Amino acid sequence: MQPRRIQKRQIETRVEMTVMVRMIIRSLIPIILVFGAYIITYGHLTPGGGFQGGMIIVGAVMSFYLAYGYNIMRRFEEDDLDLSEHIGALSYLLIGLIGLFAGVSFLSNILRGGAPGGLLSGGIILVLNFVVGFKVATGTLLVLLILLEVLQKGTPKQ
Amino acid sequence: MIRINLIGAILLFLLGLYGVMTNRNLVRMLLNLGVMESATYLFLIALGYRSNSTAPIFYEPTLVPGQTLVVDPITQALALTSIVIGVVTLAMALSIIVQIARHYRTLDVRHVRDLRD
Repeated sequence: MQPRRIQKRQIETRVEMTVMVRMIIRSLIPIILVFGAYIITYGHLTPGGGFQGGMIIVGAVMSFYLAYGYNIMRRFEEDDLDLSEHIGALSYLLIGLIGLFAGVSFLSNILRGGAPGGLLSGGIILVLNFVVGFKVATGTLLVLLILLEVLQKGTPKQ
Repeated sequence: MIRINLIGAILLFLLGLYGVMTNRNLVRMLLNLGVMESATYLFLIALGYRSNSTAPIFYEPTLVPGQTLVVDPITQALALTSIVIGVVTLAMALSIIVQIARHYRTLDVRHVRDLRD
């Protein structure tokens, strides 16, 4: 007869939250994402802009993590987020350089027209808001993902 | 600016600070940190007020740019930025608290002192 193996008492902890929290988060996340896109788009008319809307989008993803645990955040690849952040920074630079090549100055307004108070009245600010929102969302998400990975295990994998 | 709002923001900040200093539960300390953040939002928005002015959103029929008195929009944008940053900070702090509770099996801040396991 084999000797009885002494098992270490394991404390079983659940990763996800209760079903009510999960259901509420699932129904609220599209609303928060649309609200973040609205804050980004109307940044030149109402308080907000690229940075604030990007952080709202990150807030929606973080509430998703709070409800479902760390396993669902493994779907985000760090290399994709890093590449997206670099693309955002380069797009900002390219939009500024378009103004330089058009002969006026760096980051000059080349999209004129639009009624005052309308969506197109901001000119180049509308495009820059989108670029800044995208960059802020992916960059902050990358930093928070690395932080969450350190919280799960001891050190981040190299 | 309205003086009563500024005094109220300072009092709210001190209330939150007192709560952070005297509470032992980690979640209650986080809630009082949220109260302190709300005090700063109130302070920022009350700083930008002008007398007999309206919201700084221009649309053509009633509010004309250059002729209507509006409040300062920069402090409102700063308050919105602070709110949004506070949300993400709150989410990260809550995830750290969940890990602490899972590791130490307690939320009392006096027992969470060790730097090694």
